[in-house]
Amino acid sequence: MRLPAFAYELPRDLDEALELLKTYGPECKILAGGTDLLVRMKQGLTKPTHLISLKALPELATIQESGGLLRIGAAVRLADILTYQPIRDRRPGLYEAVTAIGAPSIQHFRGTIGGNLCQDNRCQFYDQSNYFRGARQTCNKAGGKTCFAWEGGSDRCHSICQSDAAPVMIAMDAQVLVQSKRGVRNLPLAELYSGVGERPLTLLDDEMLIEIQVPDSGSGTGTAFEKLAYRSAIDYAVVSAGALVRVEGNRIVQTNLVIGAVSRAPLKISGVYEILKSRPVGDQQVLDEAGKAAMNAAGAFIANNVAQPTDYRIQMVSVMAKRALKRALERALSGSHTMEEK
Amino acid sequence: MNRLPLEITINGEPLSPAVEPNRTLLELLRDDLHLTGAKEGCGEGVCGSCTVLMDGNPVRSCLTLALEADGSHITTVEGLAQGSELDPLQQSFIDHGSVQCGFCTSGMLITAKGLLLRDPHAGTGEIKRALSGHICRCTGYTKITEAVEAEVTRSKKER
Repeated sequence: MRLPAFAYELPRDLDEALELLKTYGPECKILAGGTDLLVRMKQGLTKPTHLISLKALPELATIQESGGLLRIGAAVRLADILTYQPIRDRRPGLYEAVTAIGAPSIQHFRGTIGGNLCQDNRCQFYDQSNYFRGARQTCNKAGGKTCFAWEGGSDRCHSICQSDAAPVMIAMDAQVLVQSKRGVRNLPLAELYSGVGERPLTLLDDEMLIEIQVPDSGSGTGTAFEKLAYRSAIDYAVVSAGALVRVEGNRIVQTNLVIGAVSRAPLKISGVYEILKSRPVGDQQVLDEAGKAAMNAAGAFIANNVAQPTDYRIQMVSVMAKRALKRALERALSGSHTMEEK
Repeated sequence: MNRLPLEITINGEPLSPAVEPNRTLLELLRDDLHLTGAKEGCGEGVCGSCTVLMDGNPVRSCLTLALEADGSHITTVEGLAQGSELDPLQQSFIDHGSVQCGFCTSGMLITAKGLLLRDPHAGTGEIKRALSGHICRCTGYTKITEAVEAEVTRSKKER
C-alpha cells in the first residue's frame, strides 16, 4: 500500500512546529511514531497536505519527576516508559497499559505515549480500505449520514477510543499540557476527549499535546490495567479497564475506575466510588457490586464496532472492572506499589 | 513531488539518496535499493514481515517514512551475514527447520537479532514476547523460538 502525497516538515524547535500548526491548521497532521497516522493515510481515512515531524524535537521526548509529579513528554517512546524504573516500581498500572499497546519491541520503538493518547477513534466499519468501505454508504465518521455500528443506524458516530494508556492515566488523575502559538493550557486528561466520534479530541487545529503529568497519589495507593484481547500483541482491546484505589487503614477512601474501548471517550464510572467508599477492604462482595455497576454504565454505550458480539463485551466489562479493581486494591494494601511478576 | 535529501547507512554502507516524502523505508529498500529481504505483508504494521533494525531497534519499515530514518543505521536481513558466512542466528534457523514458506523469516530474524543485541541471555518468555508481533502463516512458531533459544545457549557456551 502506498502513501498519498504530502509535504514533509521538519521543525527544529517547538516554536517552529507550533508556527507550522498555526499556518496549516486542519490541513496538517503531527507525525510522531506514525503507527496510527500512516495506516489511516494509506487507507485514505485522512488526507493531510503537510506532515509535521517531531523527529528533531528531543525536548518532547523526556521523562522527569519532581515533587512527586511525573512529567512525560508527548513524544516519549513507549519503550522508554517501560524502561523507566520509577514507573515500573510505583505506577504498575501505567506499566501494564503501555505493555499492552501494539506489539512489544516493534511499535514500542516508534510508537509514542502522545500518539497513543491522540490516536483517532476506531470502528470495524470505518478503519478499513477504500475498497472495503466502497461497498457501503459513507458513515458519519467519513462524512456521510449513517452509522453501521449502531443497530438501526444513528445520526452520531459510535466509534470507540482504543487507547490503552488513556483509561489508567485518567484513573490516575493525569493532566495534559496543550500548547499553541496562543499559549499553553493545562487540562485533565479526561477533558482531552470530546466524546464525539467524528472528532474525538478537544484539541483545536493549532494545538499540540506537549506533556502528560501524572501526580503521585501517595502511599496506600494502587493502580492496575486490564485488557481483554484475543492475541497478546497487535490486537486492539475488546474491553479494557484502568483502576486506582487508595486505602487508609482498612477503609477504601478513593476509587477511580475508567473503562476503555467501549465508548467514544474513555468512560469514567462515577458510581463505583459510592459503592466502595468506606467499605472494609476485606469485603469480597463489594467488587462484584462495583463490576456490575461498571457493566450497567458501560452497557448503554457499547455498539457493534469491534468484531466481538456486543452482549459478550457488555458482560466482560464487569469482569475487567473487577480484576482491575482487585489488583489495584491488593497493591494499595501491600503499600509498596511494587508489581508482582505475573 | 519534491525529492528531499537523505543520509542513511544501510548494512554498513552510507548512502545519500533523494526521496519523495511519501516514500516509506520499505519502498526505499525494496524498490530503489533492490534489497528485497524485508517483505510487505499487510502494509499496516500488523504482520511484522517488513521489520528492519533502525539503530539496533526493530521497526516496521512499512510504517516508517524513509525521511524519518535520516541519519540512522539500518540493518536488513541481507546485512546479517558476514560475507559468505551466515550469522549464527541464521544458521540456527536453518538447523532447526524454522523456515517454511519463508515470508515471515526475515522479520523474525531481525526482531530476534534486535532482542539478542539488547539481551544476549533472553529467556524463552522474552523471546516469545519479542516475537509476538510477528505472524507466521505456516504457524511454525515453535521451531522459530527453538532456533532463537538454541542461539542463546550456543553464544553462552562460547563466552
